[in-house]
Amino acid sequence: MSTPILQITDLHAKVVDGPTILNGISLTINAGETHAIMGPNGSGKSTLSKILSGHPNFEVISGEVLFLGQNLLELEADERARAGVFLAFQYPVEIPGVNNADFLRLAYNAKEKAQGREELDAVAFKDVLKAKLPIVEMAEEYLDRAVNEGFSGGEKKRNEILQMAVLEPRLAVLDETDSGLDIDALRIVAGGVNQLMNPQNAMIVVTHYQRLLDYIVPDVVHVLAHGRILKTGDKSLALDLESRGYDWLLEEAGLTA
Amino acid sequence: MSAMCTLNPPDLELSPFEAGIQDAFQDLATDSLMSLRHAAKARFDVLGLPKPRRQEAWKYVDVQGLSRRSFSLPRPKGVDEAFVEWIYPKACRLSMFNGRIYNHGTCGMVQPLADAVIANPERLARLTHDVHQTDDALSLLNVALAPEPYSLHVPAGKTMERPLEVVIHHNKASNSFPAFYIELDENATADVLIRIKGDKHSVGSTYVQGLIHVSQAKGSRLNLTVLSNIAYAGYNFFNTQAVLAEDAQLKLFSTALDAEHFRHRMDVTLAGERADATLNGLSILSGQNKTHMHLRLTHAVPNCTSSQQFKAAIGGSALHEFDGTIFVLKDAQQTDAKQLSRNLLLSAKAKAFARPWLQIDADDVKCSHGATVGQLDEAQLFYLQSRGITEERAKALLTQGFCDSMLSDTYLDAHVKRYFMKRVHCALVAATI
Ligand SMILES: Nc1ncnc2c1ncn2[C@@H]1O[C@H](COP(=O)(O)OP(=O)(O)OP(=O)(O)O)[C@@H](O)[C@H]1O
Ligand SMILES: [Mg+2]
Repeated sequence: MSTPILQITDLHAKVVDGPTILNGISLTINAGETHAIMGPNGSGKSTLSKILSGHPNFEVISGEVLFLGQNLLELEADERARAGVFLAFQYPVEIPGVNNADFLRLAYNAKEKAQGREELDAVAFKDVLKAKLPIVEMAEEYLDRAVNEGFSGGEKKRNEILQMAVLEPRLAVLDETDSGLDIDALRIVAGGVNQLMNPQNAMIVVTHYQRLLDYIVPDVVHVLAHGRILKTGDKSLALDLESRGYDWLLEEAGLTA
Repeated sequence: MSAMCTLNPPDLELSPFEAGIQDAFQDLATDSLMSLRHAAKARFDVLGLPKPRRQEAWKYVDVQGLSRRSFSLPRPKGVDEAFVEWIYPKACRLSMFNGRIYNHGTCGMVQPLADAVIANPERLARLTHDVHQTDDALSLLNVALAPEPYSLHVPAGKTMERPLEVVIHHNKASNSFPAFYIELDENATADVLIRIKGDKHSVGSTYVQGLIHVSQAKGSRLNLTVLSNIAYAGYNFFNTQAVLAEDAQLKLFSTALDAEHFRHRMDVTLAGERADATLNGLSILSGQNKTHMHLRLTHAVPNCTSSQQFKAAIGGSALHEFDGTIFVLKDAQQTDAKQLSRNLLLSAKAKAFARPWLQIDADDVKCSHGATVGQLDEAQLFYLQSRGITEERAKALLTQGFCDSMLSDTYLDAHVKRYFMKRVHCALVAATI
């Protein structure tokens, strides 16, 4: 068996100068797998996603995170990204004054350089970019605008997946990429994500809705509550949650909603 | 009767600067602007030099440093036509080199003010009237002493085919008094770019006391851009005074890039209904730079609109001051005015003072104002880093973005924008080391 893409062992984490959010999370994701993480609001899903990408607001108390066998926690956020970790934000950030195409090229070149490949100039990169646009069916004009500035909620989400397409990560964490997307956009974006999956990479999909999982079919579903994984199952678990909610799981675990 | 009567007690001794002013006042030019010059001198004598300790608007300005330097008028002769890099491929061009003005080619609408008023005595009367109103003493030095104020007069319904481009530059310690009187008749339009630049090889300090006087008749439109980009010791003080009649529109953009001492006092009065003023500014400071954006915007009549946005990126131990007041007078109902000062501190010692102010005497108005002072946005920084961009690069990108967005939000001509982008980039490099 080859090295897992991601291996989290008994992870406890807190907000810097704030409360503890994650209370012992363990999970292993192998190459080619898609894991869904579901769970009530405030259960720690985004926190886990941010910790994986190196967000400075959080602090790991104990536990271990290995990415391709390497200690992920000792890397800075930008190093993690260049190593192949990608987070599609629940709330993508607007960056006025920074051109979207320039930003994408900078990110692309940072990774190319880290992997010992040639950086591309603006002209050459435009071709790379043009080939990626159809994946999320995004119009070229969005490239000339400032990063996410004035983008609608759905457009921001598409822009996240465009970045994923450009960076071709080994591990992608999609934090509620479906929220804010209309029905057609959901189908398009999910289709794009599926195109980007291959046997060498892996994905975590955080979502509240079974509907996304009709398009992006998970191999494993985890339920996160109170900073812990309450239950792990196959895709049928998501269907159960859709019809029964979370209360029964919380009760089973001796927690109240 | 007092026993002792010292004529010049030590604390009343004139500074070299004041002494120089009094000398210069002794022989004001005897041109057709003489009455205007004398009015300005008389008003200056009443106001005196600004007093930082007593006048809030001068509190942070280095008037002391200024008063220690000598004051002299530019020499009347010796106009060297130095090499000038022009931004507009086609323009009416004026340059001022070490204080003396040079007219490059002919442009019917541009001529010395002394010539312009001969056929237009009412204009002179109006200018003289304005002098009595002003409370900004240094601007009066310009009115009284500017060797050759220029006039841009666009007649009714006319559009200036080419913009007016002015470059003010120095290669040695000198004083200059650039003065531009812009008069737009009904429905006239014009574009004016004034640039003050330094010369890397020049030493010593310059003193620029500039004046831009604008009067806009009904329906006229003016784009006015001022760029101060002086990377060596010098005081650059500018006054812009504009009065807009009904339906007139003014777009003013003031930038100070790496300017040692820059003060731009902008007085804009919306005096006719539906007049509209957009005032924008961008300052980038490094080292010990001091930039002061002082605005007084008056809504005197109903139904006018105004918007101000001033941004500053401040590095080193530089200081940026925004002091802006919107006056909404009693009759100015349905005023729509907004004002925003945004300051980005790039270093621990950088300072920003922002005093956005509203004084509203009408009751049915829509006004907003605000100021922010802070570092780069953490969320933006993390977003970029999460895409593999190093912290250092991400910071540079965000800082550049903060400034560039000011350029792209404005109406700037493409040539000007391109030139600015380059300058902004250079100024930022200086500000972030
Ligand atoms: N900086 C912070 N300071 C204090 N509490 C925080 C901070 N960041 C997150 N939390 C808290 O941590 C908990 C988990 O938040 P998180 O965003 O991870 O939830 P989530 O599972 O993603 O929820 P949702 O489904 O609503 O997106 C919440 O109670 C939240 O208020
Ligand atoms: Mg969340």
